[in-house]
Amino acid sequence: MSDLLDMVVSGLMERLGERAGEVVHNKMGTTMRVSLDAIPATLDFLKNYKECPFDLLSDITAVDWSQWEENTGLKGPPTRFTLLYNLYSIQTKERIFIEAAVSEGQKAPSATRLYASANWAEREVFDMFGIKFSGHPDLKRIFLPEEFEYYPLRKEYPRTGYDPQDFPQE
Amino acid sequence: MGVSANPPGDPSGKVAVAKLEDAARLARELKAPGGGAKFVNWARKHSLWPIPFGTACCAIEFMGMVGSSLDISRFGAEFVRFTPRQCDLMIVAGTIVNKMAPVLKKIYDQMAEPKWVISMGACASSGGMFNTYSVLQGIDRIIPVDYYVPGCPPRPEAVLYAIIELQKRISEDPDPLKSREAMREKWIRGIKGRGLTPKAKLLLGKDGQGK
Ligand code: SF4
Repeated sequence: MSDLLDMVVSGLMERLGERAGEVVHNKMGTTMRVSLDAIPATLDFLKNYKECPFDLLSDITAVDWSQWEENTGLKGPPTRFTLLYNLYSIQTKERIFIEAAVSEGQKAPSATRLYASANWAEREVFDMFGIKFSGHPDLKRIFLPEEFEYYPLRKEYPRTGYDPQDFPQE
Repeated sequence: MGVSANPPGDPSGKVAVAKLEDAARLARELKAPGGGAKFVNWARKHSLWPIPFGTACCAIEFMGMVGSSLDISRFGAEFVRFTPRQCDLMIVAGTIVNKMAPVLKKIYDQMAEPKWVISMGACASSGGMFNTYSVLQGIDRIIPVDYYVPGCPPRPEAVLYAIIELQKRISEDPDPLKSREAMREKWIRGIKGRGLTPKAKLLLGKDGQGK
């Protein structure tokens, strides 16, 4: 981790206090866990950080942990979903990941007021995982047809869907 | 430079004579009973206007087929048009996702009769490698298909072969409108036998006639 990123992380820890979780470094880069209600404050802090503004929201995605323990035998996180924000600073070429745990049915705060690109990214997360965002201006499906009833990237969803007639029977 | 009655590239005049004989044969056939339909079919098979419904990688292969080295126009399928009203041959090249299916159906419905469909590639024919919730498992679930061209993607020659086969069929068809209708009825019986999902019923229209 570069000194600059170090500075950002410690500044963020200070700002969030209790709401900041652990920081993980690995090949992928630096990931910081924060609590869900701290997301707007975190993004605001990172976007407006003077020496290293994270002005590009590359992506928002999520992970479904629901079958993790059965499949791997390892212990998973206590909540069902993890939201992952991928932020990049164009000036300094630094990247940071922000992780927040979301349980089923819980609403995440929308980042659309800070990043315009969050609009479609959040719609994609909603489309695939069914995580709702409060404060999103137009939260509807982005890829799948509007009448689609399920969230296909949830682990229990079968690859060919719930409508077997649409598929040749093996 | 000497002046020759024969066109350049044909010094002996053999090609010109063969063409004249061809025309004479056509004229004889025209006079025979049913010759009018034959002539119309002859014209029809040499002026297929394809509409490409290219949604994925197969469409790139389609471009190769239209391009100068393989050249679909050699077979009288010259005018690739992008409006269904002017076309009578639909070439579906690519993966059709469920969200796209109504669009495909609508464009097919807009084409004037008689019309033919070639399904190009594994995806259009059967869903291909995309055996997932979002992909239509073969366009024959929503429109009738005349020729399936296997491959991922098929070689352009394979699609050209399908076009040539289609031309043979057209030239032997005494009444394309009637035979199209019969083919469509057979198709609708076939898909009804498979069991229709609510979604497919919606696509096929209220009467379920596939029109
Ligand atoms: S059949 Fe193969 S080449 Fe054609 S659209 Fe499908 S994946 Fe692409």
